[in-house]
Amino acid sequence: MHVELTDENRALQQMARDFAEKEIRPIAAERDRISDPAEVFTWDLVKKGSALGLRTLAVPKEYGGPGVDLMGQALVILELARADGGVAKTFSQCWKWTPMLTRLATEDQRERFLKPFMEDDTYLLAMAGTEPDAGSDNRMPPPDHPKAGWKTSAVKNGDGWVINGMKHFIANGGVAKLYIVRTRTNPEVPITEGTTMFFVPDDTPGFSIGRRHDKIGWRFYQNAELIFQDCRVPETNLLGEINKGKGEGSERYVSFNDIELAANMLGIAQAAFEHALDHARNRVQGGKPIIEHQAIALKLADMYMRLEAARSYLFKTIESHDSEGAKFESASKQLMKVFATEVAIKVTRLAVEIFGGSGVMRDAPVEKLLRDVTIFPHLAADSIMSLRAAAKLH
Amino acid sequence: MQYPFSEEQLALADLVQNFMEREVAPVAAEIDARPDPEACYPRELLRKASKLGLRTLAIPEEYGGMDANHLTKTLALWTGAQVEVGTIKCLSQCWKATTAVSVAGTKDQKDRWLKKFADDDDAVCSLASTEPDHSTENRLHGGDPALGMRTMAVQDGDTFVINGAKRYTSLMGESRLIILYARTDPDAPVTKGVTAFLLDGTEEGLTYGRTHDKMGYRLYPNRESFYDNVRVHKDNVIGEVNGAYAVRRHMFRGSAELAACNTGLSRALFKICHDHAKERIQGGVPIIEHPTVRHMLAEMLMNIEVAEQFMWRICWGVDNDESFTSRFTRSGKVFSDKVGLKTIELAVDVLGGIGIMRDSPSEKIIRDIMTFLHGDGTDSSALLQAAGTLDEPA
Repeated sequence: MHVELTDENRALQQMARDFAEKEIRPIAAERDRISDPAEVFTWDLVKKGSALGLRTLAVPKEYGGPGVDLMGQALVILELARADGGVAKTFSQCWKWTPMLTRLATEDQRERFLKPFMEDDTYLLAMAGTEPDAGSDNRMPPPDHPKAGWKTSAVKNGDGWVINGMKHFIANGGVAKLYIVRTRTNPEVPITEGTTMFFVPDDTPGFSIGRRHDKIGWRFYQNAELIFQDCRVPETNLLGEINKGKGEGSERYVSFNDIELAANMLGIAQAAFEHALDHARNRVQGGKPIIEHQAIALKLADMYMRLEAARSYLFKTIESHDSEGAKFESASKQLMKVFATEVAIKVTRLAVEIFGGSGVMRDAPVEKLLRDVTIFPHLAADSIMSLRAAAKLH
Repeated sequence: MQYPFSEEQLALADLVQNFMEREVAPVAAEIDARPDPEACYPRELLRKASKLGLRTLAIPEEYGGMDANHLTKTLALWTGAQVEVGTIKCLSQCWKATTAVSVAGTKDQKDRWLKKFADDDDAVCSLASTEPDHSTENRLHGGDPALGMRTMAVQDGDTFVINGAKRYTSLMGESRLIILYARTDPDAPVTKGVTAFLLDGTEEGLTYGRTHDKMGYRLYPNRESFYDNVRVHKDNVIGEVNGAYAVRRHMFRGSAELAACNTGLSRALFKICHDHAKERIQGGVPIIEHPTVRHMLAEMLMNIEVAEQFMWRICWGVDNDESFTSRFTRSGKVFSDKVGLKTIELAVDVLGGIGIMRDSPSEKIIRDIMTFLHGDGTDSSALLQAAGTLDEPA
């Protein structure tokens, strides 16, 4: 890999590769084709992955987890996504929100939520922010409308809170056991000053799942609408502090996001490259395997080059993150995700091109990968992130 | 400078930067503008650099050098290229050739050549391979003995008699340590029929032609050389007879040299654009406040950072990874070329007409970036070579 790896991470990488090859790859294409989006998901994979520790990978040792570092997490995502990006994200979504359970939660909350998360092999985590009318506004409220952003409200009532509203596009929606919900507790101020987070277990009265979203790719990964109708949660489910559920108070724990997404799409693009290479060696046109035609060989070398460039950026971003800790918030991290997106799209597109007409057929392996990477440009608000990063150049 | 460098490496980078800014920057534009390419050779500057130990960076300590590894050399080159690429490339050429002698030379050769080289502040190095009719062929020959270099060396007792011509050779005419590649078996492909010889540039029968008049890198001149019955003792054969390519494969399995030049230049260009954008007022505000300009700056920085991280990973591989192959190096170099070109495109957009005026420092950098896009093999030939090894481990 041309990067320094610990023995633990090497072993972890191998374990993830084996799991991906044996369990994910054989069923990924077939599940992707199921037309009902909810049916694409299967608990069998989650349980098998849980048994290997993949669900609880990010839980620190002091809380009974393996405490895998960021490099280890990225290596696992790269391997799982090479077999199926949606499966990889189902697991890594749990890692992303683990710090909420270990570092921000109270001891009582850890007892009620971290404990079952560790013990129940179907316990998945979700975070609910996005709403039908609040997407990019949550990240960058427009200057002339500073109070834009989510509207789902939480109102104090006796010794609890009553939540009303609707979320959509919520990852692990419909399959998570625990939802962390961002609500408006003061609509008169910007969301950075008026947001409070609550733990909402999936069986809370007044809480229900709406549609499962039917996506172009990443279909194993579930996204759903969440509906809150006088959904009552006790005061003890309030996570962190009132009106500090957005911004520095909550987000300093989750700078993981860009690294996670980049690793996922680079895993998918690596698979596209490998399929294309294999095809080019075996497909004969003009009297010889097409890899012997310079135009094809150059495309393959170009794909390899771009993948290595993006992996280099990813690995070094992780090293910076590790050396600078939770404060790490440089332009590089956001730009790295933007760059990885460009590479992933370019590489999977080239793979389809190398397959020729058969590339767009559903019985070839690459059209799914092209659909899968189509997911990424909007995630974490691509162009907006790049502008934010640019603004920091001052 | 994100990569984890040692204190010694950072101190060296400081030394290089101070030297380049104090001694080179004030005179570089004037030298670069001289119409006679021969007059552009920065002899005085290199002598000063030599006094600081920069010329002999890669020579083992026992012969008076600093024994720098690949990462150290690359850091020094990248740092210097941000100020003036030609001067630092002259020094880097010395590091490259002396490394070849210390890695592939016998004890006797090291004693005779390295000590003498270290003691002479005016000595520099050349690697003479390219010929008027044989360039890309030296890399892509398909095993055909009819292709590739034609300068011949014929053994006569204890000496080899060399006849032929080389061109485009860096620092030729100034060099006191020349590694000359000549054909010793015309019936074998170049990979098995070429021998490397050590010359000091004063041999009888060796004459010099014109100095090539290049667009950029003018402080790093290239010159023709002619060989008319030049006699070289067999003790000055480096490696085995007919084994030059084997030596070269071993020595240059990895190099981030041109990537360092390209990213150093690109970073310098970025800095000019960034400063300009903060000062230049159009539409009533500094242009950096226009989102489009910020976006272009962010894109420049993103590309440069990716190429730099690719480069540090090449260095890590060369210094630490036995399985490292030249495919990775070639890809990193091609990638840095693409980044250089993209940086030019965006820079000209940000700077407007100012950017291409000869009194703007950006103009020289743009010419410099465009000069060595073909270096170490054209991009397409480098990618074709890389494509031939895609099945080998990364």
